[in-house]
Amino acid sequence: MTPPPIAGRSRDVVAATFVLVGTVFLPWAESGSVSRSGWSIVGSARRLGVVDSTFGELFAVGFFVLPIFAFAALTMFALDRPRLVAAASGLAVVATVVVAAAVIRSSLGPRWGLWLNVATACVDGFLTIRLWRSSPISRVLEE
Amino acid sequence: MAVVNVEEEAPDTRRRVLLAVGVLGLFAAGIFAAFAIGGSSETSAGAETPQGAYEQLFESLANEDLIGAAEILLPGERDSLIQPWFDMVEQYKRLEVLDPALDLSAVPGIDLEFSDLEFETTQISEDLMSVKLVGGTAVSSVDPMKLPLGPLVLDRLPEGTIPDEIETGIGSVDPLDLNQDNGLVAVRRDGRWYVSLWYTVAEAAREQGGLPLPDPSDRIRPRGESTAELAVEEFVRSSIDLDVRRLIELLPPGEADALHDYAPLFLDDVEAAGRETRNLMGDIGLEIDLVRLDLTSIPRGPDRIVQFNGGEILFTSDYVDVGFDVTDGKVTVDAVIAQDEVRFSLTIVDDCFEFEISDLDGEIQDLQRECASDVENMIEEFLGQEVFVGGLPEFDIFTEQPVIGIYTVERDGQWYVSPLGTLLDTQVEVLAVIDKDKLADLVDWFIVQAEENLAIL
Repeated sequence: MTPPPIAGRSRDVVAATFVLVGTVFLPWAESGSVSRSGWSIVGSARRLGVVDSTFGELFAVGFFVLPIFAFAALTMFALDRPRLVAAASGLAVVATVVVAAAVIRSSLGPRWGLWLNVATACVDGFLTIRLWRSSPISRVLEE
Repeated sequence: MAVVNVEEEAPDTRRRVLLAVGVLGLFAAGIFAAFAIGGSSETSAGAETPQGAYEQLFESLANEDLIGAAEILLPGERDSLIQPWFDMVEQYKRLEVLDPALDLSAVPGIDLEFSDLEFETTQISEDLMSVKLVGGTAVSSVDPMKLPLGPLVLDRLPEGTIPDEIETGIGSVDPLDLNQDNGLVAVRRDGRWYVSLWYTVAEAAREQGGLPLPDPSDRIRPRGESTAELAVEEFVRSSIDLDVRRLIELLPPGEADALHDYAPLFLDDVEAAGRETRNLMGDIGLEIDLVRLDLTSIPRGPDRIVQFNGGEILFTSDYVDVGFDVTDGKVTVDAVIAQDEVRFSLTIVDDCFEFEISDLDGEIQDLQRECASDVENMIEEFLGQEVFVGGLPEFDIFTEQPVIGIYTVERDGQWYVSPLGTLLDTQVEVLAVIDKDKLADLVDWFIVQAEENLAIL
C-alpha cells in the first residue's frame, strides 16, 4: 500500500492544529456556576498571580500564542515545509497539554471542552509525530 | 511562446492563497496574543465603575464563582489573602475537618441569590469611592446536611446534631432607611475599580471616629530594607523604640495600602502616647537594649521566611536588670535585683531547664533542675491516673517541626514585613505538620473526658 503523500499529512496536521486551537475557547472548567474557557482560565491565573514561576509563565505565554502556532503551521504548509509544520504544531500540542494538565489538577470542576481539547491534542500529537517521522531528513537540510 | 500548464497553475494559486491567509493570520494572531499577554482593558481584572466592582462581587458570590470574586478584589489584598486561604482549606481537607472531596468552585449546602441590587456612590477621593447598598434583596439558603464537613467532625457529632431542614433567610435593603450602614469602598488602580476589604474597614473606622478624610500628601510612604533579615531586624528595633511610623513604613505596599493612607489620621496620637510611655520608662530608669539579633531567611515562593536563631536583649532599670540570651539553642534568662543582692538565673537547654538563685558573689542558694520527661511523669503520676480516663493522650500531634517565622515580601527591590502573611503562613505551616490520626485520637480523648466530666456533674 502506498503511504499518503507528505503534503496530505501536512494538511491533516494543520487542520488538527486549528481544531486544537479552537478547543481552548470552549468551556474548560466551572467556577461555581460559571463556565470558563481555557483562554479565560489562563488569563485569570496570570492576573491572580497563580502563575508565579518562569516555567509557568513560559507555558502561559505559549498558550496565548497558540493561534500564532496554527497560522505558522499553515504558512509553512503553503511553503511546503513539512518539518516546520510539525514543529509549529508540536509546540501548540505541548503548550495545551501542559495547561490542560494544570487545569485538571486544579480545584476547578473540569468541563467537556477540556476533555475535547485533550483528545484533540492526542490526535494532533500523533499526526505531528507521523509527519515528522515521514518527512525525509534531507528536507530538514533543505529547509 | 510560453506554454501554460493548467494542471500546475491551480495548486500554485491555492498555495499562494494559503500563504496569504497564513501571513495575514500570523499578523492578526500576533496582535491578539500581544493584547492577551499584555492584558488589555477588556481582559484585565477589576471593573470599569465602582458600583460595577460590587455588582460583579455579588454576582460572583451568587454564582459561587471564586475566580470572578478573586479578580474583583484589590490585587494587594487578593495576593495576601487568597492563596493562604486556599492552602488552609487544603489542609483542613487533609485533616478531614472539611470533606476531602470538597470542591471550592461548588461549595455544597450554601446558596446565595441577590436581586435588584441598587448602589449609591459617593466620592471619597480621586481613587476611592464609597459604594452604598441602597436597595435589593438577598436570599440565602443553608442546607446543614450538605455542608462540606469532614469525617473528623461528622463521625463524632451526636446523631441529630445537624438539623435536616433547609434554613432560608430573606433580607432586603430599604432605600428609605437613612441610618443603614452598608458602606463599602471601591479603590481605583491603573484605571480599574476593585473591591477592598481593608479600605472598607478603614473608612468605616474613620466615619465612626468622626475624623476628616486623610490628606493624600500626608500618606506614609512605604520604605523597606535591602534584605528580608534587615527588614525584620528594623521591625524589631522600631518596636522596641515604639517608633510606630517606621513600623508602618515597613509594612508592604498593596497589603497595607489602606493603613499607609489612613495612618496619618491617628499617627500623631499614637506617637504622643509613645513619647509618654518613653517618659514613664525614663522615670523608672528603664532602658531596653537589643544587643544582638541573629536572623536567617529561607525562601517561600517569591517571598522569604525570616527565622530567629539567637539574640540578646537587656532590660535595665533602677530596681531590676534582666537579660535574655539565646545562643546555639541555649536560652538564658538572668535577673539581678541589686537592692536585695540576689540573682535569678534560668537556663533552658534541649528539654531540660535549670533554675538557680544566688547572691551577687555567685554563691548558689538554691538550684533546681527538671526535664520535660520528668514533668510529663509528674503529671501522669499526680493527675493522669485519677483525673483523666485512660491517662493522658499524646499531645505531640506533629509529624515534624513546622517551618515558621516572620513572613517578608519583596516589592520594587525592597523587603517588607507582612504581619498578615506571618499569621496566615504560620497557621498553614502548623496545620501542614499535624498528623491526621493523632489529631483524631486527641479529639476522641477530649470527647471522652468531656462526657465523663459531664456525667460526674
